[in-house]
Formats: sequence, C-alpha cells, structure tokens
Amino acid sequence: MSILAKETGAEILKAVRAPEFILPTIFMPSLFYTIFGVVLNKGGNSAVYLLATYGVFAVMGPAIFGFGTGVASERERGWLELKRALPSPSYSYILAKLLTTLMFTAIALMPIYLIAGFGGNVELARGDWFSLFAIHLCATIPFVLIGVALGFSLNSGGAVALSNIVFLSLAILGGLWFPVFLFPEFMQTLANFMPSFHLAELALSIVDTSKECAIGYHTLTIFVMTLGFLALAIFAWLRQRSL
Amino acid sequence: MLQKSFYFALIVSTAIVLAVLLNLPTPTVSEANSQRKSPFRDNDLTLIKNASVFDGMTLIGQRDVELREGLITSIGHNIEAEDHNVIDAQNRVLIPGLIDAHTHSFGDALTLSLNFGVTSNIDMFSPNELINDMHEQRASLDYTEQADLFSAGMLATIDGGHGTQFGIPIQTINSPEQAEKWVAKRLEEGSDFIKLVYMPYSSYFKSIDRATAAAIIKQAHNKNLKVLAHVSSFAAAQELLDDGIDGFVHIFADEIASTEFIEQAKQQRVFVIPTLSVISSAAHHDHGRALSEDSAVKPYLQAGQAQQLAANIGSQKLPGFELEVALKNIELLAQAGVPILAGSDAPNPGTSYGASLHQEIELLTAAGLNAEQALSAATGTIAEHFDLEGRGLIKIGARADLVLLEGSEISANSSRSIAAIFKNGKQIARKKTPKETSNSTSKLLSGELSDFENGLSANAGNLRWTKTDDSMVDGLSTASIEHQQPLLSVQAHVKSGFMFPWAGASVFGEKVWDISHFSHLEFSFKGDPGSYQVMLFSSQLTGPPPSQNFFVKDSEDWATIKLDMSDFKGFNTSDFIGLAIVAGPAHGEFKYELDGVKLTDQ
Repeated sequence: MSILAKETGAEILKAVRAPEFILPTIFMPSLFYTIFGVVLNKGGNSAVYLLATYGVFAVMGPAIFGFGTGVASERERGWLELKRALPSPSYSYILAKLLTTLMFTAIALMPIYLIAGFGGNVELARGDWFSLFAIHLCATIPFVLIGVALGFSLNSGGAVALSNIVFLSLAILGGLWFPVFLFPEFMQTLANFMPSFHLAELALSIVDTSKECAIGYHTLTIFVMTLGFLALAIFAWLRQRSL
Repeated sequence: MLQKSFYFALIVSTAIVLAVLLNLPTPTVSEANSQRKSPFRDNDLTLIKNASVFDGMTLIGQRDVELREGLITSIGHNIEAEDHNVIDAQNRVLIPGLIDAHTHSFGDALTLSLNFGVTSNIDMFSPNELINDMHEQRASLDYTEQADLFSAGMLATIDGGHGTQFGIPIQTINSPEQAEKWVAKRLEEGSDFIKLVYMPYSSYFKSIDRATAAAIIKQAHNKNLKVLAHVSSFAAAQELLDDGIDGFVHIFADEIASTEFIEQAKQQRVFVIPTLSVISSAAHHDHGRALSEDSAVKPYLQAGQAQQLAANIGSQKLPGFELEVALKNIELLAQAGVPILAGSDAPNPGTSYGASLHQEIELLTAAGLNAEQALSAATGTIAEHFDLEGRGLIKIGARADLVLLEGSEISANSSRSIAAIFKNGKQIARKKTPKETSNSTSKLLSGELSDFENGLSANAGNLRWTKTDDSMVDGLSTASIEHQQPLLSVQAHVKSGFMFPWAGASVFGEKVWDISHFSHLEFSFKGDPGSYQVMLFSSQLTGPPPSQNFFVKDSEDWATIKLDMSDFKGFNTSDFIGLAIVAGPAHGEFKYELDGVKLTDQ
C-alpha cells in the first residue's frame, strides 16, 4: 500500500511539475462544453444532453493520452526496464497511473458540472449529480485500458497518432459531440461498437428520465467491452515484457 | 514526501469533488412535485395523534387515526407509532376531505380545489373530454395534487336554453321522445347522474318543457341515475318536485317556499344544494371580496383567484336573486329535515375553486345550520346523497382524504384554518400565493387612449387599437375596425359560441400599466341600439374580465359614456394591460363609432 501511495505520489508530482501536458486535457472539454452546451445553446435542452456526453468526453482525454502516449514514451526511454529491476511490484506502476488519472478526471469533471449548473441552468436532484459523477468516473476505466494497450504496443510516435484517431472516433461515433440519432443508419449501428456510446447512454439515462433507455443492455455491453480491453491490455503488457 | 503528495492530492481532489457536487443546483419544489412524489416523508404510513375527530356527521372526540396506502386503516386511542410518519394533532380537528357539490371544473380547478382542502368536486356539467379520465383518476390511491371529479357530464337543456351560451357543443334535448336515447348516451359517456335545466319562467332563456323534464327523470330512474335540477323559481321547483326530481342544484331565491313544498320535499327525500355563494354574487353582496381578504384564505389564493372572488355576476343586481329569500328557504328546509349540501358553483364570478366552499359553509350557518351541520353538508351528507363510497366520512376503510384544522372546536369559519391536507393518505404541500413577478409596473402618465387623429396608435403608453372578438377563446363572434379619421368605426357580429360573447374594438400594448391614479373612463359613442360593454384586462386574468355594460337606444346622436373605474368589480388597477369596448353579450350585428377615449381623474 505504501509503495502504491509513493508511486502515485510520484505520478502526481510529475503531472504537477509538467502542467503543460495535463492542463489542456482538463480544460479543453470544459471549453468545448461552454461553447456548444451553453453559448451556442438557443433554447433547447442541449445543456443537459451535452453535460452527460461531455462528461464522458472529459475523462477520455486524460485516460487515453495519459496512458497511450505516456506509457509509450516511458517505455521507449527504458524507464520500464529500469522499473522492472526495482523492488516495487509491476502492477503498482499501472495502478498508480490509474489512480492519478482518476483524480485528474474527477477534477476535470468539476468545471463542466459547474458550468452546466450555473451557466446552463441544469438542475438535477442531489442523488442524480452523484450518480452522474460515479458513471463519468467509472468511464475512465475502459479508456485507461485502451490507453494501456496502445502504449505497450506502439512506439511513442505511433502511440500519439493512433491515440488521436481512437480518441476522435470514440468521441464522434459514440455520439459525444452530436446525438447519435442525427447520424445515418450505418453510423448508428457503428455507435453500438463504441464504449463511449454506451457510457454516454448510461449518463443520459440519469439526466433525462423521460428517455427510453435499456440500462441493462448498455451496462452489460460496457462490462463485456471492459473485460475485452483488460485482456487486450494484459496481452500487450506481457508482449512488451518478452521483447 | 511522495506518500504525502499522494494523500494530499487524494484529500484535495475529494474535497473539491464533494464541494462541487453538494452545491450544484437542484430542481425547485414545483418540479419535484411533477415527479408525483409527496414532498413530505413518503412512506405511505401516517399516524395522526390526538386529533379531535369530526367523522363527517358529528364530533366523536379525541382519536388517533392511522393512514396506510391511501386508506384509513385504524381509528382508536393510543395507537403505537412504529414506522409511521407521526403528526401531532393535539388541539386540532381532523375532518374528512371536503366535497364541493356544485362546480364546473375547468383548467386548474382540481389543483386549486385541493389547495383549499376540497378533495372531491361534483361537476354539474362539464364537457365530455373532462370526464373521460375521471373514473380512472378517482379510483387511484396514488399520490396526486388534484381533487377527484364526479360529474353530470352533459346537461339537459333545449336549443337556446341555459347552458348553450357557454360555447361548448351541447347535445340538446327538445322533446320527451328523445329522453330515452339522451339518457342512454349519458350513461355511455360515464355521467354519474343527470342534471337538467328547467327554467320555464325565465325571460332570458328558453327551457325544455315539463313533459320533457318528466321523461328525463323517468328514463334516468329506470337506469338508476339520480336527476338533479337547475331551477331559478319556486314555481319551477314545485313542478319538478311533483315529477319526482331527486335534488336541486340551487335554491330558488324569488319566493319563500310554501309549507306544502317543504313537507313534500321531506317526504320525497329530496336534497338541496343552495349555492348561496353564487346567489350572493348575483345579489351583489360582495361576500366573495370579503373571503378574498380573509387572513386564512388570502395567503393561498393563486393567480387570478382574488379577482374572481372580488367580482359579482352582472353589472347590476339580477332580479329574482334575493339572498335573504334564499337564506330563509334554506332555514325552513333544514328545520324540516331536508338534507342541505354545500356547493359553491365555482368558477362563476364571485366564486373561486376550493376557497368558495369555505364561504358556502359559513353562509349555511347564516341560514340557521349549526357549525357541525354546515361542515357535514360539505362532507358526510354529500357522500350519503351522491353515494360516494369511502368519501366524506372518517371510518376504517375509507379513502384517506382528510383535512386537519387549527383549533380544537369547529365553528362557522374554522374550516378555512387549515393545518394540513391529506389526499390518498399523503400530505399535500399547500401552494402559497405566488409573489408578484412584475414589480416594475410604471404609471400610465397620459390617459389619452386616442382621439383617432393619428391613426390607431394611442397617445398613451404605446397602446394600439385592434379588433377583438371571442374567437380567441373559440367563440364564433367576428369584428372588424376601420380608422375613419377622426374616429374609429367598428363592425361587430356577436354570435353564440362562448360563455360571454363579444366583438368590437380593443386597445392593448405590450406592458403592464398602473392606472390607479385615474378615477373614470370616458369616451364618445355613436352606434346601433343594443347592449355594449367595456371590459378591462389585467395580466393575471382568469375567467371573465371585469366589465360594465351600457345601453344605446338612439343611433343618431353621439353620446358621452363615463364609467367609474371602481365599478369594474375585481379589477386590479395597478395591473392594466388593455381594455375593450365591444358589443354583447346580446347577439346580433352592430355598427358603432368611437372617439376621444380617455382615462380621467375626475
């Protein structure tokens, strides 16, 4: 436990000492939300809709980039080989990164909530605010696993490129920027393969109680997908160790 | 160092998250209500401790009353509280939910009624679309913020009879042969009883004839439906009594009832719903205004209710409506043992949903009923005569519609001092009078509402003249206006289609104005002989606008019409949005000209 705490502390210090990396991932979603959810919102209920989807969007950035590009470059520099020689267990490296990411995403969500609540006049029951936060925070986990798989599989240049493609695909095809029902039919079908879509639907089921939502279906799908990403991440990790 | 950073970061981020989540905005109470949950502890198990219980007929003494899943499940002494929502009713009287035995429930009627402890309304005529859902709704024991509804549905009247002036499509009945089919149709539509209008001696309305009335009574009785009658004269009441009517929905106020009539009514077990509140309004007694200023009532009146209460029916006292005669008749009938039931006839001018039933209870005591009898007239007695199973009484198994009153005794006006209202076993949050939203009302500086020298714009306050007619409320009247410098020419065609038909010219702006500094409205008028009226509009208007009539006999000469602003009963002079000078309510085609319309202070 104390090793994990120290490793996490180190990760946090790293992030705080090099804020140019972490700050954009925290503030970009808030900025986007302010523009599309509040400023450009004429009437409509897009402030509520986008609160649910941009929350998912906000956790995606730190999770995928923090791991995808971060892990790839640390691996390239031989930091992971060095770590293997240290007494700390190898899983603590991943867990420390995960905890750090959770803390940063938790904080990254807050400006969006504040802007929604006080700028976009979104009113939710106290319990619903907490449920929404829980879903958004949990959404970090599948994206972290995607990031791990990318970071362990690619060199740092490839990781940056692919992370961007994955990030944008998940955001757009998952309906985080525009509602999925505006898409042509084949893209709507495609959305069902995006974890971001299912997470957004679960978040929407909280903010919009009138919406028909197959909560069981989305929960099961995201659970199975997360297991899949876990397997992928473990595979990528084992593979890079053996290289 | 590293470990410290971790715990520090963990504590800081948790604190930030909690600080934000606990301070984000949550919906206001009214929106929470729309999710159909009681704002009070909603475990469907309530114990009202130590209440003085009025069971719908009489005070039975101090009891504990348990409410479970919408019903009264236990009445007794020292009932143990377990998982109950306990309400201390020491020095309070628990009465059954009130029932208004004469209403016409439009719009927010059922919500407004419940806000004053009236848990069931009995409509004496409502359009079909209103009664479609009522059976299902009143069978439910779920949380609701509305009173339940019982209704006659369509009323029995003739083409051109009372009831047809309201603009609602009426299936009229003109001969005895139609009675069987007509009654069968009511049964099919879900009417709970039959109401017929019998006014053979009225000079305003046509009426079904006696043979038709008798046929309706016979057919309805064949199908086990009660028949109640709207009559406005003693003579008409006597005829229907002879034909076997079950009850009267107003007391006649033209003559004192004969001893024979009273004896016969008693023998035939006929009941009477006097509606003294509306008779008071027709007789211009201003009881409604007094009610609207009552400290127990005023804080709970919703938008427009105070103005409705302050209004009277008609601009002059209606002949044939003597409140003293009505009170005497009720006194005689009650003494003889004829059941008296409380009904307000809301929303007629001078009455408003819910609130007016409390006035009716008080007026019944003025007619000689004691406080217990008057309260029973609004609870148990109604349930008994309308066969409302499980309502109007506090007994085990009854629906838990209850009102808790302040004070340990009941009196003529104790029913309006409400401590708590329960509908279907759940406590309802009473709605207070909404705060005035526009406090930026400015004084209308100039009273010149136009001399028509410069087109249709008024000199004052950006007001502008336009045509107005009742088509805005689905009536059929039409109007057109033309600016013929220096005056305004109006063509109006007033047709049947709305309760208070009108057509003519109006002047409106976009703002609310304060015109309290003007005492009179003055204008020059020339037009076809007939009846005209001036209507004043406020932003908080519900129901008919306050108005005054004027009559024109000679079409050749200009006349100066000067009206005292204080005679627009129920008008809030600091909430003026416009006025209309129109033809009506008599039907016909009218042509008239207006000039020099102005508000003056002398």
